Amino acid sequence: MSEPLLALKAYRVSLKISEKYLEVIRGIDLKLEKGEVLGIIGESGSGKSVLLKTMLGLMAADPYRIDSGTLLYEGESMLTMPLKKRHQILGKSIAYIFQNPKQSLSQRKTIQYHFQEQFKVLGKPYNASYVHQLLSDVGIENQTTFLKQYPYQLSGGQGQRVALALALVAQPKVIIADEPTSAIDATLKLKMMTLLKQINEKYGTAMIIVTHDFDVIHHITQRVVVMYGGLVMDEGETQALMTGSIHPYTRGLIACAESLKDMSSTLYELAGYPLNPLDFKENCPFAERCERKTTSCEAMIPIMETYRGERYRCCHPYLDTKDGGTSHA
Amino acid sequence: MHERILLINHLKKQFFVKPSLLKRGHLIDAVKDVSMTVYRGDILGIIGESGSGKTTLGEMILKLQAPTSGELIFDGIGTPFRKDVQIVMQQSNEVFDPLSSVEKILRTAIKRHHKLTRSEQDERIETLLSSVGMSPVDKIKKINQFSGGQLQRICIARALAVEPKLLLLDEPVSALDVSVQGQIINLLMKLHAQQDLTYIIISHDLNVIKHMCNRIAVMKDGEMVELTDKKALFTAPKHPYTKQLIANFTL
Repeated sequence: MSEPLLALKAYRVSLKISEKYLEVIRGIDLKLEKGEVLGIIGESGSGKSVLLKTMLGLMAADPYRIDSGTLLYEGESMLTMPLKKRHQILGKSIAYIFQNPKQSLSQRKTIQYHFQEQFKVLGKPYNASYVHQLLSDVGIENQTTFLKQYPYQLSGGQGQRVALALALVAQPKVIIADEPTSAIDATLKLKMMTLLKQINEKYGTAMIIVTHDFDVIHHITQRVVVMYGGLVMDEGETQALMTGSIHPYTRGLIACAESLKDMSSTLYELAGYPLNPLDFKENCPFAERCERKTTSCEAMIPIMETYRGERYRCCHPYLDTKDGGTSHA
Repeated sequence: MHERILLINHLKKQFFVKPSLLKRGHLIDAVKDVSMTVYRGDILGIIGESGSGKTTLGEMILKLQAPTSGELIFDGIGTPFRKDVQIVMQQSNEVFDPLSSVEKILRTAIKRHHKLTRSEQDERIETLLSSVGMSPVDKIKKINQFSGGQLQRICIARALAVEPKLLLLDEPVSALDVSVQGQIINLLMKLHAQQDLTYIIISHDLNVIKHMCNRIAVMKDGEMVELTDKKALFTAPKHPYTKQLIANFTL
């Protein structure tokens, strides 16, 4: 088996909040294989944004501390390498698409300027036909006139596409997208999902897609990681997890999303609210909202276990007792 | 049964836009000639993409924007407008002063339109909090101590404090986590069943609209292209835009 493209091990991060460090990422292991589309799903406060931003060093303004862990990109440690080298990897091999990409473009410069800048950073001459090709890949017609426009003239969907095309200039090996569909309308969501899927198939680009939208997870990802309370609670193949996860939290989330779709008169409710990082304790973070909770859930953070390819943290999973699996309850 | 509560008659809104200092400004039509009737007890959904004018329409219903032409007739019986029409906004954390307590917020709203003694006010605050599924103990807490879902409940309690007839819900759940959305929708449906309320829901989330509304208006580029009951919209959409919307949705 080949080495994974990105590997994160025992990653812990604390944020500085009023002179104290608060641990918000509490030991995360992640792997991204070549050409794979990985989805990260989590509610607010689960630590998914902090995870991505600290991994890529995008959080310089906010004081934070990486307590432990390693991040390997093709076997090289990203966290300890010289900054210059790290920036080279980030510019060329790992592209990041922000939640609201229009705001990351300069409003006073044309779209073309942004592309030229991208080539300059890569140290290559501007290649007009390649840019046109990329724009048509992301579904933009009349490229010549389009390039003369300014970012404020773009619609939300076009902004998203430009950000994707800009990211593709460097032919990155990994694209990391933070909520790629939350800022756009329902009708554009489908187009964006199809587009990401096409890019993945055409260029073999690996992707990490952070979202809270199960449609996106369902349509484009192959593997999904469920985060809660600064921990990976559940991880597995998208299909398997969506149809029969053994974790109470994943089940609850899916039931919430599903009941909104079918016409049930009362929606499925997951009691309580997402855990605030200020309330992190050494117990199962989901315990207070879980219907299978027992006193043992309060004792410690559940360890990572594996069952039929699904990695989960839970003391009382929904194991199918008929075929040999035993429930700890 | 079909008692009218709100009549919107050929409502138009134009905005003056000046993109740069050097260019001449021009008028854009945010809402072009919208007419509709809202009946008592309705849950009317307004869907449309961003820029379709649904928020502007909502602001005009609330009298936060004056229409360029057309009229809005609200069938209140001589009561102040703000007592009858209230709003629940999307970003509930930005609505309140983060340092004021829940009690203070609700008391201000109650005092505005009801002459009650202090103890009656306290009683009302507790009833309101329990009706939105919160503990009366929470009333002394400050706004910045609550999560998004709890804030949305407080926002609903605040809107209900004056016993309104019409509630405008502007994207009531789209900023909330998936696991909390269901709670808030159930709460809104429960309140609608218990109290004499009419809802106008503005959303781009078809799932929410489909679940909650009995009538749906579809907006596109400032025009209302379709207004029909839910069943008709989802089974036999008439306008091409609605057809496309439903086709994308059912996929």
